[in-house]
Amino acid sequence: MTGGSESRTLATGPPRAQHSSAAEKGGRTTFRGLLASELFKLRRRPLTWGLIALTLFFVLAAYLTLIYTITNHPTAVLPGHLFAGPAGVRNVIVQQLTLGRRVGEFSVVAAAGAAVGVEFSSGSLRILLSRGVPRWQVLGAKYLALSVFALVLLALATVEAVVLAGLLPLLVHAAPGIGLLNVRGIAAVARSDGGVLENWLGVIALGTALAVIGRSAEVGIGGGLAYLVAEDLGGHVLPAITLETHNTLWSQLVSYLFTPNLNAAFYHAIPLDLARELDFLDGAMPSPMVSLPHALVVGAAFILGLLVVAAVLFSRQDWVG
Amino acid sequence: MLATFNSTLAIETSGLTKRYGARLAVDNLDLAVRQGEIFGFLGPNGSGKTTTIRLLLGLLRATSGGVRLNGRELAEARRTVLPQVGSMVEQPGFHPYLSGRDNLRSLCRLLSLPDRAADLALEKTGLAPRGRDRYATYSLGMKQRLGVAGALLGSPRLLILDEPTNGLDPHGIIEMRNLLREQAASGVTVFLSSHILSEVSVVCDRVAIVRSGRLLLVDRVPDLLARDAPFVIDTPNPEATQAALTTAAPGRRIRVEGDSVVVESPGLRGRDIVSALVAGGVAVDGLRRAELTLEEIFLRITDDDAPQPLATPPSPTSPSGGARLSTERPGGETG
Repeated sequence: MTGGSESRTLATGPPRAQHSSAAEKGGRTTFRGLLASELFKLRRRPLTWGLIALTLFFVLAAYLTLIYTITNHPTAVLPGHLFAGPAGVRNVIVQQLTLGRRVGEFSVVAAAGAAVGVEFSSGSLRILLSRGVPRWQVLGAKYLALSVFALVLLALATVEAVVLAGLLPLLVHAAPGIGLLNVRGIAAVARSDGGVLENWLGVIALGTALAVIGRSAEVGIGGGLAYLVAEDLGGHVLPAITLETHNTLWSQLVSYLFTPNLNAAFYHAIPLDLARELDFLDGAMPSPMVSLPHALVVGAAFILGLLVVAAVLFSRQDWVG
Repeated sequence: MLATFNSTLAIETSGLTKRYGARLAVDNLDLAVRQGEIFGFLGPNGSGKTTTIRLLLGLLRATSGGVRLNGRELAEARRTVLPQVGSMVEQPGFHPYLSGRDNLRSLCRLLSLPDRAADLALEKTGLAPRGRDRYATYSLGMKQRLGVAGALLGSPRLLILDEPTNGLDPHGIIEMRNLLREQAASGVTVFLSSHILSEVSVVCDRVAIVRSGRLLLVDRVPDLLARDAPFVIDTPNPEATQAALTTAAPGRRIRVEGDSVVVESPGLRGRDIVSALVAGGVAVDGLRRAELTLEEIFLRITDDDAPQPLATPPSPTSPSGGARLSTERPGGETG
């Protein structure tokens, strides 16, 4: 074929008519526009609202459990106990967020898997890439939009926990009122929120990476949930193996797993008296106990590694779906 | 290789090649699409059409060769070039949980367009009444319309559409045809891949035909329809006519159909037939070209068993006349 020779003989076509209205003009893709598009899609996705409702429901469930506990153990609100005085108000709020964090992890990893995976399964990724959006920006905007989702979810959960804590004296007369919440209490709640956010940003990276690896929402959601559960269980099973085998390797291994370190970081972020009361479902400490710097460094290494894997795979793969 | 690019073209590829292991999906493709034309891209299943489109849009990395869109090299200016290209590759890819309108609104945010642009695109493609329904509930034809609506957002200078009439009813096909013509009339270049050859012949200015990743020809549709159509000889004595032509052109396909003799024409000129018939002393009532459809031409060209490729460059020499028929083939505009 002689395409080269043809190209030299072709005439220029008719000049482009300038008839397009202002509403039709545009065509510039920016990271800001991409982020706005991602936030719009998240906002319009029914799953997003379902996950928010689920998380807030479990914050309420924690609150109801708290009422049940205080009702059955009235000494809990007496001076010197967990839910007494200004520290008690703080603990009531953070106690609710503790369960909210656990359920929120599942919600956030599901949101991440769905947001990234659906682009593969629906083929909508083609539209973004064929408009010249760099692949790293697609992934970056998704991670940022999901981080905004996590922030909003955390803000809603915190507001709910504070409001419910304010209602507690109406239901349990001896409970401390919200007016007792002082600056130290607010700072403690903020630290707890920081711990929750660190955990959720980590699982967003997990859901994103799995969705990219599996090129589907199913792998992102299912794999993310399975990983969180399996590793959490592993954090308890491996020390048991240590006891059986008298080999400390298994316990040492737990210190470098992802989820146990997320739990550990949260453990160190919440008030100490409340942390001592944590059980398995709340997010127990990994064994052996790790320090906050260790938990943060290992968690950050996992997050960074997951994001690098997702970015490399995402930017290198030819789109063939 | 890239130095041969022509800046006046909407699409230009040079030696474009995509290889998957041992399989060549696109083989050294040289393509030139003029600005403002509607260009048809034809080929059988697996011929490399969609792979080529993906390469044009930067969705695949070429093994070798280059692509230039609207005068700029894709590899160097994709962020500048591609936002000006509206496209739909294979099935439209939209979020099933969003309405058609919301899918377009999310694109509007990406392209820094107001939401009104989404409504305008829905109106242009006749989808406004169903715009607020979830995409998952759309029929195939409606999905196609939404795909084209998405491609139109941002007033692109170039539209690359893969099977845009797929799933449309006849009314929808006519609407799509008018829409594409309207776009071309406003200076938009339309690169159209389609299996509906009758539609391509009606709407396209030029077509390219590919097979096994290789470009077989590029030509204007009227020229393509006229070229290589068989000669039909009306004669009172078809058998004698067939015998005379068989003697003059051994190996050429010649058949009798009623009172006519049909001669396959690649490389054959009317005057050569007349000379052969005069030399054979055969009476002839008329000589004309049969009218082929684009579908027939497409099948001839893409048929692996076809004896003679059509895109061989013309020979500068002419046959000397007499009773021996020429086997030269007409040249055509090639890609």
